[in-house]
Amino acid sequence: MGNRIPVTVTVESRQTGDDESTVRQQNCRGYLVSGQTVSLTYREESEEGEKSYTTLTREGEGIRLHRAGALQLDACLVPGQSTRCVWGVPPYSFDLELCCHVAEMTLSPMGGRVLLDYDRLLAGDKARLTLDIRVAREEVSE
Amino acid sequence: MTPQELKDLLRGGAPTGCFLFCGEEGYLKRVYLRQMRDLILSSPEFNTFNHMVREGAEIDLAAVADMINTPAFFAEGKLIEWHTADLSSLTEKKVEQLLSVAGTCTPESGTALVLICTPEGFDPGTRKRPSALAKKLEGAIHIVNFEKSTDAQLLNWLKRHFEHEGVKAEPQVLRAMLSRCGHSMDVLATETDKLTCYAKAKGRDSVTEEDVRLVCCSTTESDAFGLTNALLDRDPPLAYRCLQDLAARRVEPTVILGQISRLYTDLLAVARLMGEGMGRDAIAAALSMNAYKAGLYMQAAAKRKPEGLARALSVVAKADLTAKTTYGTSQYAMLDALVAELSVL
Repeated sequence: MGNRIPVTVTVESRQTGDDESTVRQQNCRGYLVSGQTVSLTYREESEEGEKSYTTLTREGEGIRLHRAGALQLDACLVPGQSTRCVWGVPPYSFDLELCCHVAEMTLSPMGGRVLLDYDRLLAGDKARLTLDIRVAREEVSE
Repeated sequence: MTPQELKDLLRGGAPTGCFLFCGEEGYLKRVYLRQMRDLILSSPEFNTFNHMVREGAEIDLAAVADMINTPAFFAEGKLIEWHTADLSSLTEKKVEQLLSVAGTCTPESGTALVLICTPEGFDPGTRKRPSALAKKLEGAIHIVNFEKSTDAQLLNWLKRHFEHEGVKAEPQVLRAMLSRCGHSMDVLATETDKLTCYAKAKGRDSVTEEDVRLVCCSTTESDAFGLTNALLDRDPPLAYRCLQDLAARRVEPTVILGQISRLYTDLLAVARLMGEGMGRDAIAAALSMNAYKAGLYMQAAAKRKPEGLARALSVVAKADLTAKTTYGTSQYAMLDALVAELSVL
């Protein structure tokens, strides 16, 4: 296992569906793990105080998105492909279909960016989600 | 005691005595325990003193005896719960101690002691033929076996839940729910909540089969033998669902392939021994196989030609070789293709 590098993460998520568009931006803390590949883990907190942890890892042509905590999800997003997964909001769970348009990850131990753009089909409703995640290495003070 | 008998008992007011909740249906155990709490713990300000909850595989009988001997604090009765108990390996001495402790839960003590066992933690046997331990305990302890509900019971239960929420659901909708979501009452309860909210959000007072398809998560109730049983029964849709479930749980493809390979190796061996005129017990002995399993395999082999089984085995061997020598192919996709090929042999 590689070393954990503390980072600050800015997550901008845009959700578009039925002529409505919502944009949310959140700054959170996380860490990069650098080994054979680089993975990013960060913690988000909703306005209600529910916490969820997201880990993004490159997997072949795509990016594996793993969420744990108040929101649970595990899916590999590959551009041009659809994937089925389960979206968990304990104690409830929902079947979800994701169709990925863009999955780019340019991370190095110094930071970088992850861009995910995908359609989400949930209970017959379609929405487009764009996650723009910018990662910067935390300054280390003496 | 059946759950219905417990229900009748609870209609009479706060119960006392020792209860043992066993069986696989954890949802019902929680429902009845909640009812007992509501009946017994009538003074919330004193619950800290009158509601004792412990857990552990081994019951600390000395501690339980102490709790029983402590009088209820400004209340009529008290409730002691012991969760995740495992009585499967109780010694004779411990059984005697348990019976003695249970005997002190008298109406005068105002105590209800509830021992909640894990599904494997107590074997009650059947109503007609109770297990040896159940026979020893039944005089002093109310043993309530929460068995898995039947389809008819679940359909009734779902109907009542929807009615309680003010939403109508036709029988075919309820059957569609069972078929899609499985038989776990915990899962069905959350899916009922989801469907009710969905229908109300859409301004409707009924749920449809389409709602079930859109809103409910599909559950494959596959156990360790789900995939091999589906292949034995020549049921490709079920085999695919089991495979999907195994893939979702990230079971190693080589392990799955091993199961399939073992199935066809055993089937071919059983078919050949049957061809030599051997019976079930002889086959079981020759292959060091459980007699029940040998019987199942004989039934499956009788429906197949030996040359078809040999061909199936060579297809499995080829897939095994491909999996071990090819780099970069999706092994789950290869297993999908293998199931497709096996289903036509």
